Amino acid sequence: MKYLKENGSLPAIASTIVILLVIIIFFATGINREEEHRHVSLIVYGEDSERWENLRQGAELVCEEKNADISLITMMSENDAEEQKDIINRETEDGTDALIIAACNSSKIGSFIKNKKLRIPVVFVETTGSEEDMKCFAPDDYRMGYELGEELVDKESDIVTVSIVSENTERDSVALRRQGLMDAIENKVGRIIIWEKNEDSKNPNTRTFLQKELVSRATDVIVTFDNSTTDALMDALENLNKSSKVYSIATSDKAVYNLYNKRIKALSYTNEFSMGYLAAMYALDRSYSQKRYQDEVIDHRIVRKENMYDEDNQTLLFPFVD
Amino acid sequence: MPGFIRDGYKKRSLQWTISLSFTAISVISIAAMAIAFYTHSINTIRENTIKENEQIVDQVSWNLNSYIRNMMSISDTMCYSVIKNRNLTAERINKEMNLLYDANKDNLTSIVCATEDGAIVAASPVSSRKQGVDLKKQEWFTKACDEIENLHFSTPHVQNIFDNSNYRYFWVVSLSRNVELTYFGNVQNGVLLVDMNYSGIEQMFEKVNGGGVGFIYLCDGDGRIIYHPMQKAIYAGLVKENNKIHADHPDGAFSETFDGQERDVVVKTVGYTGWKIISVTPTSELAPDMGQMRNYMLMVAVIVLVLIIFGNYFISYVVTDPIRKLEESITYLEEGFTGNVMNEDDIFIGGSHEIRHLGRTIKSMIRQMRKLTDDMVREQKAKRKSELDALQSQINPHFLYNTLDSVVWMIEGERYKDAISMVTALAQLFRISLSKGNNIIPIKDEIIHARNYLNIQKVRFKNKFSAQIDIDPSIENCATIKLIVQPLLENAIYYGVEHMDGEGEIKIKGYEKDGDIYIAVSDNGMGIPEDTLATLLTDKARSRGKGSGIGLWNVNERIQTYFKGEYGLIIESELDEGTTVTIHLPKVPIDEYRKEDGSK
Repeated sequence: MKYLKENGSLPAIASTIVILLVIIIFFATGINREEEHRHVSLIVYGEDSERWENLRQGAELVCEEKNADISLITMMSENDAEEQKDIINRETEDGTDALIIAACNSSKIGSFIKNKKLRIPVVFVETTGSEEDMKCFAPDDYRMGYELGEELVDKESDIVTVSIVSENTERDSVALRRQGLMDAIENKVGRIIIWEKNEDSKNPNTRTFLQKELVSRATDVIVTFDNSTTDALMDALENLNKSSKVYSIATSDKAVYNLYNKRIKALSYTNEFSMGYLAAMYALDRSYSQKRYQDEVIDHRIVRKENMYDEDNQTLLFPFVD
Repeated sequence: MPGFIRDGYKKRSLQWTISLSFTAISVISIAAMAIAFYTHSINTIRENTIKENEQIVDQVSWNLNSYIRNMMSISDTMCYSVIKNRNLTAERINKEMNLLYDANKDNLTSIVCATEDGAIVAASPVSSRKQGVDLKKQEWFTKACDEIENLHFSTPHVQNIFDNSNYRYFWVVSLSRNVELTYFGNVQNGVLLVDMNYSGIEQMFEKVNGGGVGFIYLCDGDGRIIYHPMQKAIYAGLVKENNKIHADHPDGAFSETFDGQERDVVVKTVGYTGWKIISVTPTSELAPDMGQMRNYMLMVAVIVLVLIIFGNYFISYVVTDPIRKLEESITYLEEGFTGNVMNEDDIFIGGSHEIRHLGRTIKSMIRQMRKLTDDMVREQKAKRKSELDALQSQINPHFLYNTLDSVVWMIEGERYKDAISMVTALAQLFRISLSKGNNIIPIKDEIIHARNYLNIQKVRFKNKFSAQIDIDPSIENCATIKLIVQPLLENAIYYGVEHMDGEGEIKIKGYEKDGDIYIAVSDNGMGIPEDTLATLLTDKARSRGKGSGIGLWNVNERIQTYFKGEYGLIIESELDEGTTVTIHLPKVPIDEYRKEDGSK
């Protein structure tokens, strides 16, 4: 060491060694550092967890890849925004790493999330959060409604009476679908009736409401825009043993079953598996601002009984159940 | 080598150059070695992974073959043991069919026997047929009818034959074949369908995909996917698979780049079905192993590198330190040259044999140089002495000639006493001139000498001039070069007072001023013209070789040779007024001079 000190080069060599060691540590820790285990909360509206099976599977596939686990959290009710806010609060307080939300009320949940200023990824699925800067993976709802309307106009006569079940319109997805359908059929059918539950109604149950409407009003075609309403309508028709032509936007097993049984004449169906997959990918991917997913619009298609077993449709309508 | 690198090298020390060069070579060598080793290791890992995957694929193939053979044996049993030659008009086949179904219901969804018109002859389990379903339009049926001699395996599809409550549906893989149905003794074609539960195949593959790297999937001969761990994502178009290419590939292992990902692929065809079991291992999934290997390599390389840097530095120090010390001693020596304190003992001798030899050689060289320098100095001194002697010898004949001329003149004039007196003075003059060989004598001797000279010249010039000598006693014992006053007197006589009309006057005044000694010889002669005065002490005066100049030049040269610097002659002259030539000497007592001279 004396030689080195004499020449004054010891600091230079020592610095070199330190730099090299830093590089080693950086590489060693960088390469071997395992991605930490994360948790994703998939918060959905409604109490039926099976209805979200496709969505969950899509998200779960990504979570397995990304070393994360996912919990599907349903509500006690269909569209109680306060309950959903409580769930969101609970999950964030429990330290979830990402939120995937199917909002029961777009504006309320959207503004709630915006005000919370969360530092974790928040992704909306199925329906937007009403706030422009919030990421959402959803089909083109207006287009879905419009195309279903075109199908209706195409397949039905121009004098039919069309009843539109206007439920859950606090969700942007439903409102947009209804708007699309209205734009497509306006002035192209005989009559349009809006079946809308009165806020003060003593019959909060949708099925009962629909049964009442079915009994009290004559209609040729009924249109529904979401799973719960479609399922309720199917139950109402079955209960009343009535057969109306139903055009629906839904993804439930019951809807598919009734499509086969011809109770539903045309079903606009979206790929919720993709929705879940992309939402989870967005939530868990380290490159958070990944442009790849920025403009993803979930595809949809209109299925009838005749084509429901086509190769493309059956993979959509009949997901593998593990 | 680029100029800037070359220049950089030139500017750096030898140790730095050696260290850097060795380190650079070491880094390159280690990097090359590490890369080679790493590449080899990675290739080994990949080869091992491929071998492992081949084994797994073989195992899966064996399991799948068993499963398929089992299904085929069910179909064969139904076909040959139950349906063939059975008069279906009178006998039912449901019982046997149910037995077979029950025995294999874990793997089966249903067994169906239908006529070529699509009418169901028998089915197990018993279930109501869906309204409006035309079996003839289903792929498994048409294939069985089109190629009656073969067994046909479909890709996974949702069974669309029987009604099912609770919205249940079944994903199945259909095994269909043509069978001969006997009615009333007539044989007609029919189709036997064995719907294998898709989940059986799915579970088989899920087990092998549960751990390890990569995945295994199954497709038919046309590349249509039967099982894939990302099947749903593939159906949704979210994930892509290179299944068409894989299906066309012969059995074996190969590498490919698909969707920007490098992958190792193993393909194996499943017996009768023509299905392909395909193992895919993205190279990136080997990263954990590769990462460990890379870390290890990096760690070893860095440690070795650090050791090499230290080693290089130490070795280069050991090698170059003696050279550096030698260089430093030579630098010191160079400084010593200018300071005249050169000492060859300061030359460093150490280090390796070569450097010691170099040091010794330089030392020897310095010694020789020093000897040469001393010799040169000595020679120079000798030369100067010789020159001085020559200068002095230039005086003696000159003066002797003049004096003897005077003596001759006296004898001719029969002034024998004067001649005797002059010769006596001359003898005294010569005695002082000799001064036992000393060039430096006391001023008092020089003045005696001058006085004798003046006495001689007075005789010669018939007392044409008077002389006064005034010497400060305090300087009488100080050193002077001998015979420097006499030439001045000679010039004063010959060129100052000789040609005067009146009596000439010569004064010698010796005094001390500002620590130096001045001996002024003045005359009241004609003086020296200004242009002559300017050249009196220059080489021109010497080159003239005659006249007053040569004597003065000689005296000045002798004073400067001995005492150097500012000492010498000062000549002041005014025409028709006279000339004063002043000797400027350092004040050095004669005893001190002799002591110093003796020590030298």
